[in-house]
Amino acid sequence: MKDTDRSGRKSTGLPVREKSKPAYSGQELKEMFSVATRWLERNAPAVNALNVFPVPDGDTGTNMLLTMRSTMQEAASLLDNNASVIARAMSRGALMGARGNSGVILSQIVRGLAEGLEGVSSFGPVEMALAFEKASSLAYKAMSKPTEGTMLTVIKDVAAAAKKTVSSNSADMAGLMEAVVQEARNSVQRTPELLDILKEAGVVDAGGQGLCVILEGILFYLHGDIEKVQMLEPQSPAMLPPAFMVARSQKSDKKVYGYCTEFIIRGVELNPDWVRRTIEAKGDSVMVVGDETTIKVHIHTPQPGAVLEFGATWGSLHDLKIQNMDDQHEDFLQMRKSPVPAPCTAVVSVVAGKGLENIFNNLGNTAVVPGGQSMNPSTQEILQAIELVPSDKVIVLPNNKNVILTAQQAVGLSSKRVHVLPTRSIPQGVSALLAFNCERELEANLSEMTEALERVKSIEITKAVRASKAGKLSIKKGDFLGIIDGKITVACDNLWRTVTGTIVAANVDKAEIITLYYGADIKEEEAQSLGKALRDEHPGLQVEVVEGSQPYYSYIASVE
Amino acid sequence: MTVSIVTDSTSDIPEEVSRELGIHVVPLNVHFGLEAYRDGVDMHADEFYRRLTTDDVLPKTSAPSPETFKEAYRNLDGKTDGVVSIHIASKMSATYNAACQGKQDANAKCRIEVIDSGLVSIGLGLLVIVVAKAARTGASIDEILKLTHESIDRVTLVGALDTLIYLQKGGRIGKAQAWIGSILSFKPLISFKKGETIPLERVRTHSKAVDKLYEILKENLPAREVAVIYSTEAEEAEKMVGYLKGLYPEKHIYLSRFGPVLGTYVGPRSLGVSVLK
Repeated sequence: MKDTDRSGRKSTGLPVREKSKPAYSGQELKEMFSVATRWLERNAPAVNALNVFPVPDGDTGTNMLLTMRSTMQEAASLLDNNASVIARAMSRGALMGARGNSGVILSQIVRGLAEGLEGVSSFGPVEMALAFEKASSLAYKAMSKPTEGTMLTVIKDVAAAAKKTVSSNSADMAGLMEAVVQEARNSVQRTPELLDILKEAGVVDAGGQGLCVILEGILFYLHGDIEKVQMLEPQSPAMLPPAFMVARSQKSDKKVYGYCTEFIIRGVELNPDWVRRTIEAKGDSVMVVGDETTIKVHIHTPQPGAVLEFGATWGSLHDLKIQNMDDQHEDFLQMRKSPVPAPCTAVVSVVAGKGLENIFNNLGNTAVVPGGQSMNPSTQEILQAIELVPSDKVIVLPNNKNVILTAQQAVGLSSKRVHVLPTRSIPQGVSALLAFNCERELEANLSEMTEALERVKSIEITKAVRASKAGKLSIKKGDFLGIIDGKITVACDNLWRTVTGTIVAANVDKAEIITLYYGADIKEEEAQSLGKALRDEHPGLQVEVVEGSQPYYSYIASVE
Repeated sequence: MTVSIVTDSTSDIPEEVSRELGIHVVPLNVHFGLEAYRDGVDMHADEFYRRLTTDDVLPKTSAPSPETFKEAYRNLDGKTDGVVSIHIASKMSATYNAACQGKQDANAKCRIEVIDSGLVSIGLGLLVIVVAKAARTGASIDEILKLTHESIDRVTLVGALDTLIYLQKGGRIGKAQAWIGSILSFKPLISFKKGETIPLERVRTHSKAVDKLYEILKENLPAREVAVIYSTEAEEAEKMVGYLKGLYPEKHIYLSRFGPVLGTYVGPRSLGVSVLK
């Protein structure tokens, strides 16, 4: 039974239309998803704003958009009218262009749609419903730990609703998509019930909402409402009807945050383990570090007084900080609505390898642009990082000569004050970062960082992918290469000899410290042995061995 | 009679200089466990650094008692036009408060002015030296106070430390806390200003840190007063003094040592420079 009001609108707010076509072609498939992509583009910032603290990706909308763009690009030039062919191309594009978790799940959904349309040259609601089912099952398979309350739940609910709609009555395509969009919206609204962090932050799932937007776009196409995509205001959570934003739960039915309590105990003969064991029982997020004279305590507890009293029995209390975490949460929600850039300068670094990322962040880097397998991020990726950091002033460290131009291109596209420091290697990046002081003026930082990067010698050890020549050196495929400041200096079939030989060629006798970053293909024991061998060979030389886990380069080293 | 200048032992003024300029130095206390020593009287630098690196317990420092100040002021009363007592930043030590209390208790006839310099170590030392020189030429107490306040903001003190451990354990790490827990090793350059520890820069090696100190000297010279200060490595400090003497043969370059109080925080193998512009 359909309720209609005077304007002929259904209670869902969607206009009643004539029956749509019985079957759609490949080109029409392309068009409906193009319109959907355009609608997603307009909604991407709103979707980004839904991301939940404390993992501020802030880019679900962007990731899904980029994935969709890549999807459509692959099919753009195809003039085939066979839906299966177009769908397969879209699937390829989606898989290649997927960015981030949300992009990956979306690409699996697109892939599922393509599999559902396999061998189908034109499709109607029945084929579409089957495609949604396939999409749902592939999306779930892609996740090793599928989480409900996300895009997965939405596609699952959508697939179920689609199946029900086509089996109960022979709805037309528009009717099917109306039911699908309705279900998608409901499912998105339900996500906070399924995922606690959403409930606590008072938002719906960003990925789910992104998928919902895409489906809405398809519906716009089917209704012939393409101009609405341009005209309609993107739906920001604040503008949607109250059902969209779930109210924060009352204190009674959620865990009490309590007080974030931090202090330092100073005394004599303190025992951090004892302190930790006693304090652990009094709250969450307990951290106790220190030694016999100084202990730093951090705890989230509803009873800060009890914790402080206990601390005072050990020694004197200093640097006390107690904050009501509910206030913090409120502040955070406020802040998320209108983020104010911090006055400090931020640093964006391009880094490939979990260990290296760790080191950069440990040294004070603000955001990492993963170099990825190709070690070459796109301009877009660097730009995203620049826009994401909470600061108006940004320094970019490309750490690779092939990334410098890309980084400079990103600078041109950003409205922030951005400078690229032309670091050509990881050691140069590390050196520059050590010299960075966020409280200093941007220009002063740039000059100190430039000085620092010029002082270090960079060594890279990798494998030759083909035979070649470098100056007088003859290189065979598979040889290990020792590169000093970008110049191939050593070629040898033995890794250790290459490393030690390159280090000697880098004037190690004048050096005071070498830092060896070992790559993903090297085991820690091997790297430590190499470090020891270097120390034995060069007494008085400080040798640091650190995990870099970088791809392609077995070792990267700085000589200083 | 002239104005008397009083300071505390954290000023790290070389002994012969304070004797020559007639500066009265009130000693702080150094504690190793339960043993207490007066800084510069019962314990001197060599012994201190030996124990710093070998003892199990880290030394602690404490301010002179108000009683000590009261006695010092009473002793000067009647022999002087007035007393200007300039001390280590109150943020870093209770010495200034003790001096204020001591002034009250002394109930002296002459005028006593106690000043919180916001400075520390030889930075404070250079300020006191400049002021003491003026006092010797017969400057009035008001002129001396004016000179003091004018000069405070013109003092720079930068230290190249071997490690942040002593600063951290001594509870003076301040903003340099952000550098604790670094995966890579580095040598920190720390500036001391307005009673605070300010992280300046990190470099990889000690020799680079020393290079940085030379740079800082170049940027800040010529100046009214200059000092080089070290904790345990006299040779490199003497080398730096030699270099400066070569540049400014007419100028007296002070060679000082981080006394037990500052030594507790900067640790062995530290080198620093101070300039009063």
